Amino acid sequence: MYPGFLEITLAVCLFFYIRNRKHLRAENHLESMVSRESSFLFNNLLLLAACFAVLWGTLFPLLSELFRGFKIAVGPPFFNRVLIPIGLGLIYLMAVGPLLAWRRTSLASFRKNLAVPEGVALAVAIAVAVVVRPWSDTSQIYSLMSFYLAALVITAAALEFYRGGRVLQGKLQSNLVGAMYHLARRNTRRYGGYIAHFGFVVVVIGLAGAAFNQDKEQEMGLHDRLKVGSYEFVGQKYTEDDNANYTSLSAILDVYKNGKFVCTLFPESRTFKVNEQRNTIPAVHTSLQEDIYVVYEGFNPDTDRPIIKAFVHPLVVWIWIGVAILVFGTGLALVPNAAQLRSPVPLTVRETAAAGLETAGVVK
Amino acid sequence: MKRVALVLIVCCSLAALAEDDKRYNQIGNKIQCACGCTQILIKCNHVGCTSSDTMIKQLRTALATYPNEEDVLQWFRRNYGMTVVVEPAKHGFELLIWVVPPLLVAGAVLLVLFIVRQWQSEQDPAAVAKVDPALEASRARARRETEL
Repeated sequence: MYPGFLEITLAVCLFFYIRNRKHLRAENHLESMVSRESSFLFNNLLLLAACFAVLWGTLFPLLSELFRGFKIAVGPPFFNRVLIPIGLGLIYLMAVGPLLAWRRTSLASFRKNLAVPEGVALAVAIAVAVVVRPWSDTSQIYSLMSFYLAALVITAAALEFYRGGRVLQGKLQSNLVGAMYHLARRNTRRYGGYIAHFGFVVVVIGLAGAAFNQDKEQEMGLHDRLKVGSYEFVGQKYTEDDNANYTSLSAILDVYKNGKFVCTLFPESRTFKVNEQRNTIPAVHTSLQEDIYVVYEGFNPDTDRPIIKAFVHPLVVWIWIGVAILVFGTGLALVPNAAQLRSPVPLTVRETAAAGLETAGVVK
Repeated sequence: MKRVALVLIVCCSLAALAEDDKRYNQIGNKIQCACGCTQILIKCNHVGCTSSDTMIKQLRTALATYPNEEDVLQWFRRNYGMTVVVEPAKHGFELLIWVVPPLLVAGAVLLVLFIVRQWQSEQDPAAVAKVDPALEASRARARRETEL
């Protein structure tokens, strides 16, 4: 069934490719490797490489069985090692793409455009390195690179808004924020795209936090303390309950960060009577800095003391915020432009292309 | 003199502990927990896991017994099956999984560079724009509709 699906997909794609190959033929040749077109090309190349790496890693156990007679497992170490560099490459292209001109950019002007985003990104990376010291393992180094690239993308997109806003500010005689709003309304695809890029790197920032996840499990009596990173959990009360549906064990824990009270959490463990199934109900505390999850694991039968497991996962909420921004940016890109220019007569390809270049020049 | 020796012993012990930790992380990240949660052994945060505690103890014992990483992994393969190790080896047939993706990417980049060079060396780059009028009209319509 599965190989059949792949073959049908390949056959259908090949059929339409061959049928439409005339339409797909390039109208113009790529003029320079330092251009916006080339950044799109390499972007697609990296996406293709990521797609191939996933397919290769998924099929390799079958190839191993075919050629060697036994299956091997291909897990996170392979996918992380191959796909994270590809992902970082994609984020880099996302940052430099808007800074490149269509058709051709001189290296000197590329360097000039990159100077401010590069400076800001380096400053962010140095600040993160000094505060977090992320060099205990490879994932933390990748995380540092993600912060650097995220800062590069955000600064590059912000500069595009700023430059466009400044141009429009003079024409509209309004303030910069108003000019940037009008700018986005006039070219929703482009500026919605930048907002979507911003949302994507906010998701990346949230994911980069995973390199600093911490957790600890400990038996905890009354007033015992469990320390995880800068957090301290203090056992205040342990209770048992029995009702018609389930029996439950629950804890009341006070949470402190660097000695300051943060909140009280109530993790619970329920055992349902009908099937004797145990279900843990973790207590969750979310903040912009990190999420805390506390699980009541049950009693140690030897010591008769509760076992508590606490997790501190930094930056998780930024994944959700990033997705919301990404959806907003995509939605904005789908909205028609506010002042859309419509040609009363059909234009030829050359006229349309020339008009497009002119518009791009004005916007930049 | 005694103090210097003591400091040296303490430093050496700390360095050995750090090396042990590094080895534990390095090898532990290549082994999968056998409880079915499919998490990496030393990152298994599965509440009430029946396998990870035992396996981590076995990992520590194997690390103390075998100085060679491959022997530690082989011990786990013998006791838990081939699929307990989730990082393919970097030799023999399994080397293919590591080298094929970067080789293909490098090949694709070289191909792109070659094609672009060839395009740049062409005398009349405008020649490609000679398409039939129907196709040109269709492209112009697509541009208008997609605002590109």
